[in-house]
Amino acid sequence: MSGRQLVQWTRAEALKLMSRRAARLGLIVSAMLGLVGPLLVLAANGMEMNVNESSLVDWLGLRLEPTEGQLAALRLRNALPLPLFVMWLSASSFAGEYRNHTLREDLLRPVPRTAVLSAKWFALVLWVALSVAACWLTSAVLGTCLFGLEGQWTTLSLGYLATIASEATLAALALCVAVFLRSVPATLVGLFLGWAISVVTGWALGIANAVLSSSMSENLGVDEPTIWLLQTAHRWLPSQALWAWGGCRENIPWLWEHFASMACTLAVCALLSARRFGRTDVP
Amino acid sequence: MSSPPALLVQGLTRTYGVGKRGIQDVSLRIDEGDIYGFLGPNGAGKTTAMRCILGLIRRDAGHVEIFGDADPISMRQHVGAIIETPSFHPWMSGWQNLEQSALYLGLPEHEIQQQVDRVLQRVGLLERSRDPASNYSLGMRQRLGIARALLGQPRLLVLDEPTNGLDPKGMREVRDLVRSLALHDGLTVFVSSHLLSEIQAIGTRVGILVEGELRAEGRVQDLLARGDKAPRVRISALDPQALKRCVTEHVGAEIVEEDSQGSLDVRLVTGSVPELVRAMVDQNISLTRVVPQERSLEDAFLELTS
Repeated sequence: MSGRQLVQWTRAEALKLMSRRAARLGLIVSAMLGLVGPLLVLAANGMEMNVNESSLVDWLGLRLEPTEGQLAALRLRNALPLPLFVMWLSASSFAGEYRNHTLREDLLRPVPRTAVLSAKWFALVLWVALSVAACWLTSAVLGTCLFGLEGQWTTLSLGYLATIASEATLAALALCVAVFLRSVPATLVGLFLGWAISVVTGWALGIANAVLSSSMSENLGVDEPTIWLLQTAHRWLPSQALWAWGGCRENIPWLWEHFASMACTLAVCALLSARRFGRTDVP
Repeated sequence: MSSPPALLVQGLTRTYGVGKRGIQDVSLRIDEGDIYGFLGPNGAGKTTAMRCILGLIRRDAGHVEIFGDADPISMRQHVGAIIETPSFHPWMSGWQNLEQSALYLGLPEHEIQQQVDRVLQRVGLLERSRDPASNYSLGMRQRLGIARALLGQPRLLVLDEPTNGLDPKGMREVRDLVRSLALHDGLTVFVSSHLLSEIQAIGTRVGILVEGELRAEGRVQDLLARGDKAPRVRISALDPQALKRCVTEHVGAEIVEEDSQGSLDVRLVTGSVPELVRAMVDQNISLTRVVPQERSLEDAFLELTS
């Protein structure tokens, strides 16, 4: 499998993906959310409303500052609709095609199965990149018009780039689950279950960390490595790692463990899906 | 040195576990230029065998070569295939579906447009090629499937029940197309079908698969020459009752079948057709029709499968 071949196969998948009405609609929604972000900041700052004894602006964290509109757009985009859409798009890219037999038609060509999976993933990453770029572009244009050119452009751009990394990992995860379950609804349920397990594990680790930390402060024989281990494990959880883009927000640090976790998830997904797909009978 | 066979299959086996039949030890050879009819009753394993050959499903044992190439991926360069009903992305046009397939085939950029147009022209779909695939009739989808199989100028065409589900007009279109591809374009064709008359008309060699095993394989003429050699004749008369009585009394003749109009399909164990006709005339039976029946592929098939 040469690089040129992989580019051509990715083009085949991208052609398929981009010609889907739903995929084009997803790009439009992403671009629209880019407009909604700055407008939301503007609107929130114009309101005199209090939530939990703090102003709406403080409660939402939407200050009237340059690049705040872009950040709001990113937070809106990543809150749920687009990651969900990426999961559905990835699941249907494999499981949907498996069910309606179009996957079989591709496999009748002289192309290795791993290449088909890789091409699907690259096409999905391309879609994610376009959708992030659309959101960034519209929010940047409107945000600059409303709030000026000042602001944390570099940090914010890193947030947008981290979003691409997060959703690329999510796409790989969804593809991997789809290879095993071969049904779009089952894949989505599987992903939500995995997500729930990861979140619950995160809570459990957080509680354990809090309990042990207080024990340590009271000198009850809990050693530092145990606390460190709990904190590190918490950061490596997929549910945490996929929010890595949050590092572009104030007071939230960029954590290398999030990116390392995403890289490991990607590698494991690639390995498992290639292995499983290699043994799958295609009807 | 002789050229390698278009398709060589040796000892192909695929089992599905207890209670589910697959294929056992299937071996066949298709030479370049052959039109090979792959016959068998429903559930005999024809599609399983074709899928195994093309690498869509795993094989438990066996060896497959296409034009001497045994690599499971590169061998598919020489093949265009339709397995069951061809599937398309319904939101894409016929042209886009073929373009996508051409990209997977690895065709150079400048050839894609040219080849897609050429194959669409070949199957008579160029004018409708910009319509969404979801608007195509079953016959058009089948022809689009054949067009896709022809991309990359394959030397071997593998067609699994290409006329399945089509109306008589669609069946005829596809049959004529396959015949033309084999005879005029020089393609080697490996086709499975229920329609034995079609295979008899266009096939050069056949293989008959029964319960996952290849029961017979060879040239169509050789297969027809096998088995029951007694001549058969279809007879009608103005008085069917008298006809039936006379045939029953005629030594060496037996009635194989009788239709609702009283026409008889008669098998002559001994004697000849002229002798039988003379006997009828002697009995004053007014014959309206006497048609000698040639042994068909269907007869051979039924003998092997029953």
